[in-house]
Amino acid sequence: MADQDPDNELVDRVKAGDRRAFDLLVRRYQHRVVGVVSRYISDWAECQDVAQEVFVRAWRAIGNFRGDSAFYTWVHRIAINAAKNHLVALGRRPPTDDVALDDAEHFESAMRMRDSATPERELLRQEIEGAVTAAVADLPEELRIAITLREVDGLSYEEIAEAMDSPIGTVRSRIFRAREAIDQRIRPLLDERGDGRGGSMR
Amino acid sequence: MQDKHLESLSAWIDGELGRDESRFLARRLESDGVLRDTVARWSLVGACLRGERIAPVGVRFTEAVAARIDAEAPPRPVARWTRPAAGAAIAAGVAALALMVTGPVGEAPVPHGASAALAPAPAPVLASQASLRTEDLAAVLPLRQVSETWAMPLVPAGPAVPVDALDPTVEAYFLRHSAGASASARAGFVPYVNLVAWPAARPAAAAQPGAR
Repeated sequence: MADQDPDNELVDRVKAGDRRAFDLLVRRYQHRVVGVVSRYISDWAECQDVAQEVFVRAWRAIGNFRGDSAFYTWVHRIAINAAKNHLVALGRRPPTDDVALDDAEHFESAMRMRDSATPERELLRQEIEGAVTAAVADLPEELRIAITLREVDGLSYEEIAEAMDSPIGTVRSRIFRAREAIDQRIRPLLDERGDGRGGSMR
Repeated sequence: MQDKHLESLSAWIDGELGRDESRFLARRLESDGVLRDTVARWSLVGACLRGERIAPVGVRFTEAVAARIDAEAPPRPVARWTRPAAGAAIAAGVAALALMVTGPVGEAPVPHGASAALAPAPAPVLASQASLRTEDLAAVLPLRQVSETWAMPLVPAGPAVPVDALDPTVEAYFLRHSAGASASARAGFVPYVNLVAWPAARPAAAAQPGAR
């Protein structure tokens, strides 16, 4: 098994001019980038606009990305700057306290700089989180442990195999089946209201 | 068949797919929209499981980004040689600036043999002011008498210019400048090369200890 960060592979391809590879990077991080921007910009349309601009800036500057940090760390920085610049351009004062990457995505609602979006958008977010939680709770134990060790604890397949006393191939299969089961629960939500504009998540 | 690709995709997302499988999956991802959409959803699931703040967006977001990028020129690939080349260019620029600032451009007449009695100048004078005198150098360079520091050149000077034919003022300047430059490590890019040819009558001084 290779322990290869798929982002590095994608970034190399983007640097070589591969637009499809960049599209995959967008898909991997769009939800998180919009989530970060939404902490600063409450209007949903503005928030999406700035988040799109974040990816355009990343596209422009990716030739200078040397891989010293993870791709998402780099994009996160761009997102924070873009959101702040947007507020300054509108004559609004950006928050003085930045949110560190490690903390940015773990704020409880009371600590959020701004609660973004429309009530519908917030409802969708809560429904998705609830669906994921429920789906994980319903998983057979071996799938639940495997996906938790991977996504929450960040263990490699080899480490999970050791922890679960199972072959790596079994771990790989379990994680895949867990993702499939969770995906089936959230797909209807995204298909119905994924865009918030009547569009589909596909 | 699709399940096989999806399982590969799951391993790829985790960075656990072998190199060959990755290449195969990359080709598959270029043409398979279902797989590409799955990447977005599974990434969303991962973020949810980690308790990260997410804001679900749909395919229109991805399309909007793509449309904006379409309007952009492709990113210019950064050639690997440009960084060292830029560094070399900066270094060359700094060296040229240093030469302009510290190098002697003009020189006032100085009596031959006056180097031993150099008096500190009141303040350093820039060469660009075209009034640099030997005395000025003494303020910034620890000049010593040529006769004490002279060394035999690594490459013997040819007999092209008879020493007697040189203007004594110019000669004195060259000797003092060479000594001062070597003493302060400002001898240029090849400090180990003695650029001043000495008269044949002076080889005895070359044997002095510490001579370069």
